[in-house]
Amino acid sequence: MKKLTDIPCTGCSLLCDDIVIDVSDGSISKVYGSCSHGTKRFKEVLATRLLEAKIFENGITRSVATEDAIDKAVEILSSAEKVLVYGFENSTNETIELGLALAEKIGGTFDTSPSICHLTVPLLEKYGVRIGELEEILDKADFIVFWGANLADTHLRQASRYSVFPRGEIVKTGRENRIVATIDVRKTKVTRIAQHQLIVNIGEDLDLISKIQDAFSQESSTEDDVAGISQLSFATFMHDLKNATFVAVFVGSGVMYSINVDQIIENIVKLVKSISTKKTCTVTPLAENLNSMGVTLISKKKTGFTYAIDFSNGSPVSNPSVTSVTNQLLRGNFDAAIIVKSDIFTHIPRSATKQLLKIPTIALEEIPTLVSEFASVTIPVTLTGLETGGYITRTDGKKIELKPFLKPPKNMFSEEEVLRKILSKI
Amino acid sequence: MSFAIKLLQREVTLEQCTPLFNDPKYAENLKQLQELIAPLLSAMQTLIQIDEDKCIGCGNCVIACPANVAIEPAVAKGINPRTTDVVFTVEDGKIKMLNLDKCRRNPPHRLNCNICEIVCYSEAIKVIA
Repeated sequence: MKKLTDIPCTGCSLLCDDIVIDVSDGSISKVYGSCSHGTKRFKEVLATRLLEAKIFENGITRSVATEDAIDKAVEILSSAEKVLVYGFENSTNETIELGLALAEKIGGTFDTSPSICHLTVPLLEKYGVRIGELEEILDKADFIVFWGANLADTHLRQASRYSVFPRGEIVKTGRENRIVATIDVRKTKVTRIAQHQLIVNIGEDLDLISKIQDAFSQESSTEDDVAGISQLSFATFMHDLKNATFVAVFVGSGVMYSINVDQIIENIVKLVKSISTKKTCTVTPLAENLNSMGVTLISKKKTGFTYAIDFSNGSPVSNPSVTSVTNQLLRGNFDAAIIVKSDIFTHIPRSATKQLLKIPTIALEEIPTLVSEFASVTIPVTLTGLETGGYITRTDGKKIELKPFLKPPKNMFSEEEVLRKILSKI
Repeated sequence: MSFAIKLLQREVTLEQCTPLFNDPKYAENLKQLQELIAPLLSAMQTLIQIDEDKCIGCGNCVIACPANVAIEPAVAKGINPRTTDVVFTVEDGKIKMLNLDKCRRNPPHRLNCNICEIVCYSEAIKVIA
């Protein structure tokens, strides 16, 4: 038995890099330090993985060699007029770059699953607000805000590994020196660890942001309730906010469910910018999938846009109300799709799903999903972080190098290798 | 003060303070002290209940636990313990109790600490007394 230390976990976008794993005879026997999501990734994915490439043709599914499946994928992509290149939120940075290159080469549309990062990153750039790096927050943040973020469902170790409980260089006693505030439309499990539990009325986030802004800049306090929050709760929250030295705001996917999500995120970023004039204040989006932040940052760097990027006219264009996957599927724009490690059926409405089922689809997947079930070509790929290395961008934008430790099955390629082969053959 | 601390840690008994019992002028003080330490004398061991089915392996308890940090200082930085000397750790995505005897609720500390219960997201830890 081999004991491996400091293995980065690929269970979520936190990429906790302190995992210890016992490996014997090519299988994982024990995982130390990972949460239940990480443990599921390490232990269950090996048992449920896809092993055979398949082609569905004339109503029959047949197992084929991986190379034959790749050739079939090339045939579909080459003969298509307009291709959807979708997914990559669970892929390595190297694979994301290849996905963008493929979309550009074939004049397709590159899109990915919805993420808070898509909206936050451009606004941070626009207003000159920096993303809070997790290690800096661990060391220095004495006021932490979780906005629409239920860590107990999404990022289980965020509070224990990076923000609330660890003892930092400046915040030496950890939890005892930190004030935690949760802002949400309901009570969640994470409110248990917060001193300030602000339950905001549905649809009144903007009102709350505006009141915080006023109270912060005018040194005055409201005498009324704010967006459903009692005057006393709001006043004590503002008192602690004003006395803090380093404020770290984490924005979760809960904000995405608001109708005016763009405005809310923009106003949160503007509020953070305003607080930054008097003390250190950062924003960190909590990326929903392993590499949602990587897809966002790489797409932004390469094309200037974060999602729904259309290459039909040669140069990249993004206008989500026209170029997003759902809108284009509903208009019947695509005649083929390649989906990389993403369960698109859970991201788009049923009406768009029906359109997707009408066109030939190529799926690159590690495990069985609805996509691999219905795809015309299914190509199994090696397990990222377990069998294949590369870089993943953590939720705060830091690149983390993976440390693969298992041997992949014979004749199975990584997602990166499959895309390289497809690109070279088209 | 030293005697008071030893008394709380159950290293001495109230009877060893002879003036309290021999001098009638301390009778009221004796009565108050006996009432004060009665709950301590009746306290059992740590009385922590863990429901593994509810645990999600967030590690809040492991990192917040002062005894864990004292035993393995790296835990203070949010790192899961590497030794088996600590009170508890996270193994296969669940909390695992390793050395309950090192919990600060046990002698010699006998503190009414329940930080692990307070920080648990899923109410998997209960201090029942």
